[in-house]
Amino acid sequence: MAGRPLDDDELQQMLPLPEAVFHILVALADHENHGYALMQEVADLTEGRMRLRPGTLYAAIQRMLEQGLIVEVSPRGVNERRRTYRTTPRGRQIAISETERLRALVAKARLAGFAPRRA
Amino acid sequence: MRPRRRSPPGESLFVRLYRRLTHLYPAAFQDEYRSEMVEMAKECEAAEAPDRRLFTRLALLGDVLLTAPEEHFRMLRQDVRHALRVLAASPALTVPVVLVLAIGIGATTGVFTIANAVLLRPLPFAEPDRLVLLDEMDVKRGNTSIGMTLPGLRDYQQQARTLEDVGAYFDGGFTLTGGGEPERVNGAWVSWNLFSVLGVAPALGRHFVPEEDGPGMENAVLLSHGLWQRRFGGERAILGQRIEVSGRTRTVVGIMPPGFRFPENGELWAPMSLGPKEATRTDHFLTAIARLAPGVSREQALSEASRILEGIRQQFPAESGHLGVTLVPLRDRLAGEYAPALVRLLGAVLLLLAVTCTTVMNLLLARAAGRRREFAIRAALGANRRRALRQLLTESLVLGLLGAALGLVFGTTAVPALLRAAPLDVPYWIQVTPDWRVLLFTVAVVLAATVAFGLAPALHASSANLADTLRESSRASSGPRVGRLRQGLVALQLALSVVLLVGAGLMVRSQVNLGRVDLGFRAEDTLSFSLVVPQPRYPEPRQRAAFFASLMDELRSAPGVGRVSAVSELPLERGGWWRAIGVEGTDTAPLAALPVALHVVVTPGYFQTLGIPLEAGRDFDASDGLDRPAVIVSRTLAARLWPGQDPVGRRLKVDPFHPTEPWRSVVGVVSDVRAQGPRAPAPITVYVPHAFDPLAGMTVVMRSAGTMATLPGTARAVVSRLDPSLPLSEIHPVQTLVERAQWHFRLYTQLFVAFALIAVLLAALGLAGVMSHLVVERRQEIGVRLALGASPSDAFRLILRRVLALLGAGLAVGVVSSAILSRALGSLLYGVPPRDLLTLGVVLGTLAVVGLLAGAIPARQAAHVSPITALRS
Repeated sequence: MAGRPLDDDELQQMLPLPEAVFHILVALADHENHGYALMQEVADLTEGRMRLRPGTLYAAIQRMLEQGLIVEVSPRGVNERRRTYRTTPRGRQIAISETERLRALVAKARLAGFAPRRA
Repeated sequence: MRPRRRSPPGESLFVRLYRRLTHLYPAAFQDEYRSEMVEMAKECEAAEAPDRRLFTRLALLGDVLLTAPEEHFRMLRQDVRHALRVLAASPALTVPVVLVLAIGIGATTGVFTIANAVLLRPLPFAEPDRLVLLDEMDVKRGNTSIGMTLPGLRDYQQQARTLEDVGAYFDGGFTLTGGGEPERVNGAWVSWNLFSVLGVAPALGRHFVPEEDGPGMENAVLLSHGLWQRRFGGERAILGQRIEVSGRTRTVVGIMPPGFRFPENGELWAPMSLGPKEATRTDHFLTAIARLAPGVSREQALSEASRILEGIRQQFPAESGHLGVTLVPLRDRLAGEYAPALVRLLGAVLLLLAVTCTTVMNLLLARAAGRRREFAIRAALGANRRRALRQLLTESLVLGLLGAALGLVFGTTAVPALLRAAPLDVPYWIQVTPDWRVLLFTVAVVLAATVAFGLAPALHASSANLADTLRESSRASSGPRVGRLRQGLVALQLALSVVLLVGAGLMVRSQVNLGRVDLGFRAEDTLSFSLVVPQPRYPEPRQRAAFFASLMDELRSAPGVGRVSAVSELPLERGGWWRAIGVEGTDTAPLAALPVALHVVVTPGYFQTLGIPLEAGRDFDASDGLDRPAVIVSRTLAARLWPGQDPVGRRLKVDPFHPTEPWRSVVGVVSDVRAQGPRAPAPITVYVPHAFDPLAGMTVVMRSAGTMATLPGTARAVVSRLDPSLPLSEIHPVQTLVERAQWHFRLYTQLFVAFALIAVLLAALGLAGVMSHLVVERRQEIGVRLALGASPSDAFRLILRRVLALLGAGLAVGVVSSAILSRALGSLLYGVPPRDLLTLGVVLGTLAVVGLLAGAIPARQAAHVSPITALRS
């Protein structure tokens, strides 16, 4: 599943990413994590605006596993019962594409005069 | 170790509730994530400040409620996509399965569409459940319904508190002249309030008002939407205009809404405008419809109506002493004649559905054997069994839906086509367009069928473990249990086929018996048409009699025409006028004691024209007029009135209570005619010459002296020569009436036969298929036997024995079931008992031959097994 990288068409078909998916990819960018920690990290990243509840979180995780964006890694330590996840190359690839899409969108918005005023 | 508890002690109510709700997720999702979700919910709850805890809890619960259906839906989409791929990859299985399901579901939906239209769909009136037929019956004649008298109607209208209102009508035909071809249209004479009782408002204009319903106030008319469009171009200006209806000028006061064609296919309605002449307590010519007052039950209304009738009986014991009253739900009365057959047909089609489901289940079981490996490997790799089961059931559902889609196309095109082919106009309130009930029924059928045919194969396919499967697959076997199940299914199909075939056989025998019934007249080579001379232009009875007499003469002398005569109502035509007969010599007994005979008005020569034998005396002739009242009686009436005596020369009165009724002499006796169809006994009948009772509307019967094809043209030309303003209507061979009387039953019989033949075909295919599979499975065994010296005919017999065992079991179960079920056909049958040995024998013989032929194919395969290749494989 996590196999080959996606070609451009496949990438474009998956974009834009659902917000939860993008945030999970960002939260998993440089380290693996388990569900509860992911939730907290997404909350931190969005300054508390986005709270992933368990149902939403695991539904997103299941979808991302199926799409090969993340993989499950065996729990570390005997006491850790929770499963942890990390991004795959494909997951990184799609996160980059989404970032690029958002960057281009922001650039266009700025050109259109939507630049935030400096305080 | 202590047994694990489902929820650890000390867990909060919230956590317990959360744990419960997570069961809403698909099983596979639960298996994966449920425990972690519950842990996470606990941590979320604990991390919140106490004042925000309630909000968090609600958010957590809401999250489950929102995401669980999403997961189900997503999984369904995945499974449907997967199912479509799997099914598309194996068209050899998919196509027959879908076709067989389309037959089963299509036929079931088709029959249900008709049953729904007749039995379930609300009638096109306001609050139709409150509408009842208020009917009087003759207690002395087995509670026969006889209709309402005008004074009776007034009594109920004035006295009943439990009835909001009572309206009434009687059927009528009208002639439209002026502006185009004269045209005959059906309709009814209605009480001014009838349509407001029904709760149907005119689309344009207004209802009748009480003043228009008085005697001599015959000048208003309501038109149907269709007639308005067709004849008056849909012009609104027609309102208030005067048109010529049956020779009288009437004002159009309103247009009824589109589709309204009360009572059956009416297009024009006029107020009854009845006077004292019609207000007798003996003429039960009205059909009365009442609306129950709000909150009143039919029982309450009936007990009040009975009290009112009791008053009438005490006041008029001679005329009304024999009366009873009933309140019948309007739907029951309208659907009455169709209901018994439809319910039985629905039963038959459900049996067919069971046969098709069994067939599909058998096919899927055969395939499940092949797929066990796939699922065993998936299970070995950690896939969830419930997930596999769900996926397999989704496949079945997709098959069911494809079958249903095809079946619906078939059902919705076949049903209207069947009704269009009917030799009569279907009453307007029967709307066979599918509605939500049909849709709901189809969905229910698909779901039930999916479970019926899909569950066992799915359980079988998904139950495999790898070791078993690998062992099985080396023998290409599906295991003995499944083999037995498949054989059992074939036996079930055979049994259902017996039931359906016996039912079809009984129907066919009844049909043949009905066809053999001598109706008492010869319908072949005769053409009939109705003709009404408008009373205002032919006001004098003598004028009407003279018109018809000269019409008969002119027609007789036309080329290609044999005998010609006219009659008030042909046998098998609906309606008829029933009148009490009083005999000279017996004291004027109360009405209830008098025989009630069908009153038929004829012109001279009628009996010869229609081939009704004259048994004694003479036919009417030109001398039988107003001054010499004569009648001819049917054989049974004669025997009833003058048992063992010569009736010719005796005298009787028709309606002896009528003050001006004269004594009439019996001049002849004719054979009985089954005027109410082959099932009913011939009614006692009194025939009256048209010269004595010159009705304005008669049905003319012409016997062909050459070809039938020229008769309609001849009739039109002759009538138009005599009076160009008279329209001919209902021009058809008299044979059409015979066909109409049989039409329902013939259709039911044909459907029954079709269902039974499909069931037999499927059962035969199932038998051949399952046995072939058995031969393949047991090839090695057969090979060994052959190698050890058994002959090919031994192998043939080995399989044939199995075929015989299945056939025997199936037929035995079928015989017992049909003995129980065919009794349900009871009232539909004619001249054949539900347990008819001849039918059963023919059915069993046929099925035995078909079964043996189907079984011979696999048996021959067994005989041709080559021991060498069988042992090597």
